[in-house]
Amino acid sequence: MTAPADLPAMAREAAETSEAVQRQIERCAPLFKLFAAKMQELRPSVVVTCARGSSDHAAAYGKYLIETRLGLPVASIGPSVASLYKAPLQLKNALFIAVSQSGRSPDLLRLTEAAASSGAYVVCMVNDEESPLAKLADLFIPLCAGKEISVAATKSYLTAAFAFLQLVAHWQDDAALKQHVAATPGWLTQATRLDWNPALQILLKSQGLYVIGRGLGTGAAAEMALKFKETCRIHAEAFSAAEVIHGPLELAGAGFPGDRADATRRDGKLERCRDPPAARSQGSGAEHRHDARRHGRAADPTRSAAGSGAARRGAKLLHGGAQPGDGARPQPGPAGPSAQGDGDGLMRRTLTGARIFTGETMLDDAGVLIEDGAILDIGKPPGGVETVRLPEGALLVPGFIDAQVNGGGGVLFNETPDEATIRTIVAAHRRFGTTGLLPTLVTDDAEKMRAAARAAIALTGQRGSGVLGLHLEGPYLSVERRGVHKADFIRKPTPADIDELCGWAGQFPGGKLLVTVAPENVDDAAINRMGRRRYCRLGRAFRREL
Amino acid sequence: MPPVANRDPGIAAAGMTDPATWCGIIADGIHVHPALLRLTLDAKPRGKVFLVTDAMPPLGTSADSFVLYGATILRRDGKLTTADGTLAGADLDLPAAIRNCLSLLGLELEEALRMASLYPAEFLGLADRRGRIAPGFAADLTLLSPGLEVLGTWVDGIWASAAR
Repeated sequence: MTAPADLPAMAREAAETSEAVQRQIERCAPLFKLFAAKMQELRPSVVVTCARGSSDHAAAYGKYLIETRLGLPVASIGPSVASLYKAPLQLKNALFIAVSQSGRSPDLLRLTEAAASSGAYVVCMVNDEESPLAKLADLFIPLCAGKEISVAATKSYLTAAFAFLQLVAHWQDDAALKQHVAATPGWLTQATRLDWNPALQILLKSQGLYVIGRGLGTGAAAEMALKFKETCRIHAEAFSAAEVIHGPLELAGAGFPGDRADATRRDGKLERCRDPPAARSQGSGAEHRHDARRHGRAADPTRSAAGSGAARRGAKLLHGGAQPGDGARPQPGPAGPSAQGDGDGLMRRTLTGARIFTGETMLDDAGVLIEDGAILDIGKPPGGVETVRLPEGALLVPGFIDAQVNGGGGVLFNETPDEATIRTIVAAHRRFGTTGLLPTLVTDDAEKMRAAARAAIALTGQRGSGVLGLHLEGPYLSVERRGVHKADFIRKPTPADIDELCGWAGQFPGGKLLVTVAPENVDDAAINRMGRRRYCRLGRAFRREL
Repeated sequence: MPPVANRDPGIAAAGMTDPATWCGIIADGIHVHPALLRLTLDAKPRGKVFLVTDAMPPLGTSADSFVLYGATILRRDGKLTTADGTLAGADLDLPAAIRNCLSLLGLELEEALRMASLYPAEFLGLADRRGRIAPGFAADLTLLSPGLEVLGTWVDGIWASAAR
């Protein structure tokens, strides 16, 4: 989409990003295929990035993407290692990725030359296709951002981050990630249509700002902080959510007015900055928090198995940072355990005092250590970590999972199959202990099915959504044995129906598409096609891997 | 779903006798008679039967009816039915289904809890991240009172009380 001409160049160019990434998808598809084939052959043991400024922030996103998706270590080498220190590099069997808008910075060129001559495979992601950096590459990936006039980079940063997303999607040959790639231009267009004014109002009086990110969001946080400094004259610093409480938060408490911290809450990560640390009083909870801060370094967060979820969140960060629906997060209730103190669930803490059923056995006198949405450990509670005392006699069990939920909380999924309906249903079922469910659409028309798929795809994998996919109960059922299912809609699936279902099936990372069919209305060929994708279950007596 | 008949066992019997399949059951004591549930549990390998609610809009509300395809569905006597008595979903929540597993089917608490978490996670192919309390799993947890009432939940580590 194109913005009006009276906007500053920066705003105009930012609004062109959607078109730019679309160009990149179309133009670079054969290049990324080539790259994937090369990686099959080369199998690099390490990845090295080389970039400065905004491009380096895009590379930081690429680093987490490659590390979480491919498990390869990624290091950024400062260009001065070659240009100033003239250190010889040992990069045999390494993948070297240089990222730049202009491709003309001398020290970037020196480092890239050094990498090439030490045996690395050199990929250059560059916007200016005539640049000397582009010519040093074994494989040149044009960013396709178009001409960038604004000094504050926008679309070149975003297209560089996007190039990493494409690179990893092809390298890993991951269908779900490729779906995200294809969907990104649409998300970027949506982002330009959002009203960002509420956030800007809060920033009007701000002089200092923390931008909090984590993992895949770290690069985006650094880029936002740079933009605040460069274009708003606001002193902004980027921090990892895992590290901001270990020191920097003291400054936020003393000198940062609450509204400023509120602004950073748009990414849902800095809730507790609203009160100065000294003013917090939640009984023992506050003490524990201090304790955690003191001991935090020794117990530095280890990356949990939340990697794939984080990857999805990071991919979405490309379209604006804030997570859709963060505002709808349930808050600790008065009857809950005291000293929860961590509305966003990021902080490391131990749940103790209840019997624990692990799914295998009952444990007494054990604690569950959780952080950043994942369980880190179970057993004897470690010292120096905030403790949440659960009510005596209570039983802590794995959250309930319900594969068949048509409604709840007064709403029926079929009536209005959208995200708001799913949230209402999830909230109602949560009060009955369900932590993950498949919203279930009973037999209905094609439009309702598509709306249901869109809504469930948007929520699956979104942190705290409680949505684990989608269950389509019909319309490929038996007319004779239909129960309350509406006969008009019951039918045999066409090949196009199966294509559409298979297309949806790839879009539930961390979740599943479940289709209930009646075998008398769905032939073996269709079942086999769906079954190969391992998402088809048969009848109300579900059958596995058809 | 066709009923089990002498010479036409249908999909229900197929599901019961094939060890590779899973059966999702609505343990309200109404959709399937407790005796048939017991038979299913005895027939299936452990871990292949799990609980679903088949819940409809009334869950979590005091409503006594709702509308499905333009028809009014009545909620009474623990059932959801059309005016002519056809079942239209269940008036059931998972803790109630678990309690039914204990009282109607005589299951142990641990096994009933697995049927509401571990087994559905395995059925959905999500058991690498969900259905257990173990390192590396999602912090999806449910806190129950000694009487198996839900006190609250954590979803991805985020707490919500069950209190209104």
